Amino acid sequence: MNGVIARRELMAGGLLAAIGIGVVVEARRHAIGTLSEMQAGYFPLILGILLIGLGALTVLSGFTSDAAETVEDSHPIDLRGCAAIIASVLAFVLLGEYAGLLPATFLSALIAAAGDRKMTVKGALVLAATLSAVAALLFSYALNMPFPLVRW
Amino acid sequence: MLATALNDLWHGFGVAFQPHNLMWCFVGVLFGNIVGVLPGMGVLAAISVLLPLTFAMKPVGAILMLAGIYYGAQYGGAICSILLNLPCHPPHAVTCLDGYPLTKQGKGATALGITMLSSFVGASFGIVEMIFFAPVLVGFALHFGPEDICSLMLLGLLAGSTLAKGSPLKGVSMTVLGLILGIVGSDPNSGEQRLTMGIPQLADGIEIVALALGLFGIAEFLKSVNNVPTLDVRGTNVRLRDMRPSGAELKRAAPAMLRGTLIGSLCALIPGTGPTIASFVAYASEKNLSRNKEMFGRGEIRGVAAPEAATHASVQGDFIPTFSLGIPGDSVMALLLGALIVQGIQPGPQLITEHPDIFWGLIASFWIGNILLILMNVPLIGIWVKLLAIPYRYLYPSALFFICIGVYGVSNDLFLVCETLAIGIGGYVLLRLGFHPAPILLGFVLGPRFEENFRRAMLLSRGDLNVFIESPISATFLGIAVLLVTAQVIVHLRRRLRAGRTSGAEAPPVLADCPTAPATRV
Repeated sequence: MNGVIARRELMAGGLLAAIGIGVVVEARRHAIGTLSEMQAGYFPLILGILLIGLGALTVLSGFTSDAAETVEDSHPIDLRGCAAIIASVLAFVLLGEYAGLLPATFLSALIAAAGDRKMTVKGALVLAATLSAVAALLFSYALNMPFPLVRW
Repeated sequence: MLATALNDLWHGFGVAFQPHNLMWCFVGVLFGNIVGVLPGMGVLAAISVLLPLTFAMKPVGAILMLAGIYYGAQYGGAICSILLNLPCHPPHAVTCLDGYPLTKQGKGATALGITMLSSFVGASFGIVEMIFFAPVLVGFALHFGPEDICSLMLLGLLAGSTLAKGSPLKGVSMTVLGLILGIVGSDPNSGEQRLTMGIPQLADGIEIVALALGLFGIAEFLKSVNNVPTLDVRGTNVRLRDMRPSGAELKRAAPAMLRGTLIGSLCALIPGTGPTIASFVAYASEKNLSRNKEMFGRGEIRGVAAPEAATHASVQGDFIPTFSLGIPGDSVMALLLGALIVQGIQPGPQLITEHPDIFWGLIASFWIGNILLILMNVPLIGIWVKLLAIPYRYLYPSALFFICIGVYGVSNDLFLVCETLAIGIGGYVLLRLGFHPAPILLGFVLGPRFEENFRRAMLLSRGDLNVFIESPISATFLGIAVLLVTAQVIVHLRRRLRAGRTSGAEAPPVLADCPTAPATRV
């Protein structure tokens, strides 16, 4: 038995069970009904209970599983890359809301590019400029997307 | 029967040859081919990125294009495997085993030539299978009651989640999660808001584009960033005239091609066994049949021909249950069905009669698309090879931009971009915990229909669950589902017993030889 796997299965099963409990709680806010006259809450209730059960089984399998089940995604989380990707999408939303499509595209592309350790400043600028051009010409001009290029 | 099928097919060619449909088919296969070549990009991500675009299109064009991406990517994926030993796309993982040694021997071009030929043979057979098999299946399916549909969906969901990658238990969990996500929004009967967590934008349910791009776009990027190796493409110059295989090589590969085709088209009929399983089975059986097994893994041309033919036969055959029964076999098909539903077309056995344009046009476009792919791949092979050299650091920021703007375009609402991001982060958490999120999509697409049919079946039977066993059709499906689960449990227990005895992990022999690369999974 492998400690890493057991801990991972514990978390995986725990997450499933937590979602399942959330769904059950939500389902009970609606009328449940009977099997022949199902109301809005019936189907979610079944699914929630099912998910809790599957979560429990997953936790159990972590204690009994053998090394045959390899941990393939075990490389460490790349904090810089992940932070850049998440920040990039958030930047697109915020800048898109308040500054317009062009600044949103340019800056979010720069932020996303900053996540890669091999990216150069020049490369990032060229990429951001290219994508901004695509945004302006393809989406705004050719496809007529109702997204102002620059908001004042 | 034969005459009607041919007549319908003729009609289909008429549809597929309409200029705009021809153009969308071309766009689809071209885009698919490019994405297939690019390391670190998946078919699902590619289809999801173009999905918003299809909302403004006519249904026929939309489906032709999305399907084109799927089979176009298979052509591209083989190039990546043979020339660089990178199994970018899972079905082509086994092609690496003999394809890459051939490249090292300077016969990469020949291997590619054989691959193109095998692909075309496999695909053609898959298409013929679809022409004749789908209408037969529909004939059966038109008599299905709600309880039969429920059991069939249950079987499809179980097969799709347990036979796919990773542990069956986790696959089923993801399917259930998908079903839950599928019923978020207004209850169809009472209009109550279910599972929306008080967010008004979720009243119409979770947007399929947001779900697909979150799971297969953002989550994959979070996983792959700084983890995709830069590729060395020196020495992979492929010239057009080297691609033509010699007579002897052709004679050697031809029987393997046919056997692969047969295996692929059989696998296509079993729900849940997609192209990946078909290609592995084809390679393994080819190796077993061969008199000199030691040649495999050292550049045996049959080891390229068989799995590639199987992959393509199975890719085309995958469309059979999707379009005749409305039950998707895997997540790619679920996405295509989702696109149909967005277009306001109800999938199911009535699809072929109600929308013959879509069904027969699609089949005709398969042939056109495959011919386009051959025409494109053979002369342009040099360009595809150059594409391989594009570093991931330029790919993912660009893809991220297309995701953001594509999702925005669905409803001109930035909230949807946030929804995608949230789903992406959730998907990454699931990936870290060892889940493969693909079955989520399967559950998501079938969720509302499953609930509807289950409710109807229970209403008709006055709450009597026995109806599922009393109907012979439903009982058959449930029986197969039980067999499937039992087989999985037995396999699992036997592996555990064996592992306990030898106190070591035993991976399946074929898989163990496979080079692993942090590439996008489908």
